[in-house]
Amino acid sequence: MNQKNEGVEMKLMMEKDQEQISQYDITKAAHPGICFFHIFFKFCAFFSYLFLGLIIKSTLFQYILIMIFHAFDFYTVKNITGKFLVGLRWYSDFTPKGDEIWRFECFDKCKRSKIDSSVFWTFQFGASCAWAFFVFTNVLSFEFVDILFAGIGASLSWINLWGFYKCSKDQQRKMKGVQSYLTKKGLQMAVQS
Amino acid sequence: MDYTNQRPPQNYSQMDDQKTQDLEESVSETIMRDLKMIAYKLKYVLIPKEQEDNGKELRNWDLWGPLIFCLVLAMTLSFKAESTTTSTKSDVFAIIFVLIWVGAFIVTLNAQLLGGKVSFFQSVCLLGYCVFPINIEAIIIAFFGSYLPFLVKLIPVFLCFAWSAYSSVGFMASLVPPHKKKLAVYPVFLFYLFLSWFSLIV
Repeated sequence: MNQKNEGVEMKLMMEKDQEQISQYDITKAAHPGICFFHIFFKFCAFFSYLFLGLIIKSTLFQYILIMIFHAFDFYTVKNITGKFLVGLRWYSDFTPKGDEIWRFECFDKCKRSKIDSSVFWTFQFGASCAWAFFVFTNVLSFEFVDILFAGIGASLSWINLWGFYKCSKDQQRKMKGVQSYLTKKGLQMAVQS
Repeated sequence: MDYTNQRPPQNYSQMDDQKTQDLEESVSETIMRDLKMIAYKLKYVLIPKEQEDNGKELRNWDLWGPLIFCLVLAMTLSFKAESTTTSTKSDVFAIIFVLIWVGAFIVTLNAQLLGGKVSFFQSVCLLGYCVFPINIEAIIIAFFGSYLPFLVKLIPVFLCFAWSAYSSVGFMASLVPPHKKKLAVYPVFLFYLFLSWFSLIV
């Protein structure tokens, strides 16, 4: 009996591990191309920040490329991957009076899977932490340009992370709102009947 | 600040219908739409006759236009810079980049502290788009600078500086109380003057 239980437990653990690994299997994602680009520009930005000096001798081209990759990464995450991978969007809008408000929206219509959202959140959070780490280590070395580019990368990543986090909090609030509305309705019906 | 995403009332911004359509756009459509908006805003900012509604279009600010112009200017000037050592070119790039963004930030802060009711990003967006004439001037000087005497080079520099300053001052002055106009406008002049001069002497 005991051995059989252990065998079942082992099987469950292995299945769980496999499930966790397959959470990052891009080929099974709903939008594999977009997942790829989400990771690709971040990778390019890190690679050019750390290693481009070994490939291209001219520091000017290094700087240009790093800036371009930062910009591409931010644009892609904000406008493209956020919309397709997790169905969230944030932007600024203005009222008729001219005041500026920030909108954080979620929508459910586009098809997406758990793999998409886990890829999105893991890499965005991971990249943000990595840039913050580089800023911290570079501040001690007083190398202004390194701090500049790591700082730009960190601020852009964290801005995106903050924006999408606020969207997803809104989404959770909306869900809770719907749930509480339904329970109220249910109670009302129960009381009336 | 309002963080809800409830459906706004019907008399809210007209952009709402457009934004729901955006959700189903493909990637290439998104990119083309953004590029067209940058071109439209550029024309809007730099050609005063295009503005029928007193600058309301600026409320749809975006920072991609300023980023592009900043990068182009920094690249133009650093390619042109004397390469006595390789560090000079990249220094110029970093200097221009930091100068434009920090300068725009400071000018905006100044306008806000003087009591101007302007959104921070709107003003940075405007200042960034007005860098475009300085781009033109930098490219002209980069290509033809070695053939022209110094005084002749001053002409495009001055014209482009006047164009930038005129386009941005119109907006900035309208945002602050009338008796503080000169205080708000002076840093804008200084900002573009420095950029034009820098692109001349580098």
